[in-house]
Amino acid sequence: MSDSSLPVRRARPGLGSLVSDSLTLLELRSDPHAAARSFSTRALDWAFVILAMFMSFGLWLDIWSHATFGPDQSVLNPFHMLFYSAGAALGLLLLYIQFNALSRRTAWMHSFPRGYGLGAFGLLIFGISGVVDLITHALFGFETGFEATLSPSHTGLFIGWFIITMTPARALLARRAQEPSTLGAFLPALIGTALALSAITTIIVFSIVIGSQPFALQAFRDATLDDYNYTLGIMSQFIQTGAVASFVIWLAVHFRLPFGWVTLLYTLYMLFLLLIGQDVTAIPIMLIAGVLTDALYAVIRPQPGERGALRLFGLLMPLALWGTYYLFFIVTGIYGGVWFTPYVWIGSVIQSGFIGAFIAYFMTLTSAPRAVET
Amino acid sequence: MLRLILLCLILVLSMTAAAAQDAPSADTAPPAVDYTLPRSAEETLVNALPVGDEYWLTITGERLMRRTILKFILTGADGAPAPANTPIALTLDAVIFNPETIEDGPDTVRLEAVPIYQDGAWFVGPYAFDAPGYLDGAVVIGELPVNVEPTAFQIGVYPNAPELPGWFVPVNIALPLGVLTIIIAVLVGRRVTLTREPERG
Repeated sequence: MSDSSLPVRRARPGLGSLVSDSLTLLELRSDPHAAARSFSTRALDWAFVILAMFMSFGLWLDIWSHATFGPDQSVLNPFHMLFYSAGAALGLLLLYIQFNALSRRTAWMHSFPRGYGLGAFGLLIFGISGVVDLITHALFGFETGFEATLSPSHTGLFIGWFIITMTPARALLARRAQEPSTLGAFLPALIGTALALSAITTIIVFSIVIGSQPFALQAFRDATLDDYNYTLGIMSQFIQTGAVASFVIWLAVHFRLPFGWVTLLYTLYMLFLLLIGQDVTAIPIMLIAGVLTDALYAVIRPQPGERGALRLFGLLMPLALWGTYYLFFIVTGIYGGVWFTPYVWIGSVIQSGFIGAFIAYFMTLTSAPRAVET
Repeated sequence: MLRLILLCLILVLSMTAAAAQDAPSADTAPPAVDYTLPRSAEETLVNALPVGDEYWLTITGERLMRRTILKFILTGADGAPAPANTPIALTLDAVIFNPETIEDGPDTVRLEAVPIYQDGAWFVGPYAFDAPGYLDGAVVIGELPVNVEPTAFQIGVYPNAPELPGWFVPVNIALPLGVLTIIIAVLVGRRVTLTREPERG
């Protein structure tokens, strides 16, 4: 699957060379001969992200089954089958890509297209963490509740999941100079990024507000613990701001994005999270916040390389998100409305903005990426 | 290409067969009272709860899809396991959110909870619940001083998992691998190649 001008496979015997070539293959170190690595195509990105969706749905199905019915003794639990099968399918797809590259005499260390080497590494981490998970179950028992989100083997699974789902975005980044600014062209990367954002927030599901823990709403209030719930509510809001803003600002820093991308990202993110959070009110909130943020993006036009505009966008996007969240419940009165005082909720919205601004500031500190012409 | 498709099919068949043998774990679950908990299904439900001045209580157990068993591990202040003759009194109320009667509030049932000593720990159960809820428990070790409340704890419980239809496992296995087969067939059929120049448009 590569052209004949690619370098011929070299014979480099020895364990040291094997390790070195493997690190290069998995994109875990800088590669002076990176030009020898091929680019993926949009078709391949679509194929990969579809299988990554199967895997993610399988994982959420598994999480849902354990949260609803408890653990099961068998590793061949019926609810495990979808993500086992999807993980195997992703592995087979990568093997197919590699087999084709090798059959065209591409060097082994360059046999994955750009962005996919790290994807293979994510799959490797996922597989190893799965085995470690089975061993720790046998040694220490089954993780439950908070244990499940903090267990080291589960952390490995989530990191692998995150790296796998970001593969189409990394592949797009590698060929971004040639990519047109249409929403369709960005879809595999946006879906993958939404899956990755959902994966990251799944592991902190007890510490996020939208889609999981609505501490500020009357229906979920324990009036004997107001200070405690203020602390939890605001901390959770800041944690979710960090997660969401990191992804949104990363995309804005690296790509010139078409109108509608934030709406799509937010809506997909919440639809995916709905599988475990089951809070349908989060969908219209994220839809409205997405449209507002898209409007902000269109007005500010924070193009790659324009630090000031990117930092301003970083400051304002959390204001749009959390302003929408609180105003939605204040206006509709759903779940009894908001019990946080205006000082608290307005202040928390503003401080969330500073979190976004800090993230944008640090993401644009080094030499900015080249602007993309379309 | 053919070998890859064949490999996919073999994988589907082998996983389906393996799952069919092992998946309905509840059907092969031990009969009525067997307190040998499989380690991989044992959860720590309450960790290191002080009971009076003399004891620490850790409650583990399994809340499998078909049964709930609780295991009470009692240690003295010196960390040594409590002897078998340690008097333990336990009350357990199941508060269950039955969807059919939830408008009248949750169903509360006092469970029979006489702890059985086995292999250094005390066991109660098995219990089965049709809907989710929680267990409100209170434990007393030895003589309870006057004006002192029993040590309370709360544990969430799961409902019985529904029987899954026969197609569930095969479809879950076949779907991604079937899609992969189609993807590879399309990639091969259209002679998609990856090159050092990124595609345009």
